[in-house]
Amino acid sequence: MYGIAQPIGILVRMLAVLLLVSGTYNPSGYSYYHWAFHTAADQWAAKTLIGMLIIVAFIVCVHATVRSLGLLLSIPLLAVIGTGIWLLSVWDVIDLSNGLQRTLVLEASITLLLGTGVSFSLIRYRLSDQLDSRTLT
Amino acid sequence: MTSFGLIVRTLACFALVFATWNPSGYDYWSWLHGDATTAAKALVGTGLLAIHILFARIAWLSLGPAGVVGGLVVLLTGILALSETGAVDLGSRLTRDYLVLIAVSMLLASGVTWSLVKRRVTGQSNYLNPPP
Repeated sequence: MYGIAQPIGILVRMLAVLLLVSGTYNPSGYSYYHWAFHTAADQWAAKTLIGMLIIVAFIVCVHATVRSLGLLLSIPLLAVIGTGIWLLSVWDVIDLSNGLQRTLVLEASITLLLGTGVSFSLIRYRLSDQLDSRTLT
Repeated sequence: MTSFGLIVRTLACFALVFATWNPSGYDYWSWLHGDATTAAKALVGTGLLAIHILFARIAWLSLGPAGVVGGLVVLLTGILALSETGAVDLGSRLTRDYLVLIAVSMLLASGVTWSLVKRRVTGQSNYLNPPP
């Protein structure tokens, strides 16, 4: 029996979501968005395929988040992330008047929200033994 | 589910409740009236609120109304029994405050650990379906 909701497992999920979010768009100029909309208009089949894969991956993540966190916990989590950003900007760690940093902060927030959502049924199961289940038939 | 896990979860519930408020003056509520940065107060406040919602939801789902009432009755009779034997003095405000905090923490801890204990003892798992 492998351990459920170990820190390394949560970290891996978080990194996978980070890859998805930053792969879709990031300010460096190397992302799906730039490849699909800001390069030569060719390779349309590959671009559509990757686009569909990204959409499916996002639907999976959002669905998992809605199931595991729901509004009851996503709103408090967003409030925690929001006040965390506020505190970091008060401490001058991040500068919210800088567009680049705003974008990065937004991507980090989305990653934290979706990464927590993807891991949270496991965390909840390990914490409380309440298993999130879905009846298939 | 080991005894260690049970103790850790119980201590976490005590830490959560006592960190929010306790009579000693070293708690979130007293810190809120200090001169810390508003952003830091807001961050810790929303964090505590989120953990309170999470734990209360877990406890409510596993105990249910009957479990909460039963737990409260047991805790209340426990406090009265302690008072009867003279172990605690209910006339003291400080004692009452601590007893209420301990009772809330114990109720929260029993709710958080109840599904685990129940499965270990009886083999009956708790499923969330549909998801909360």
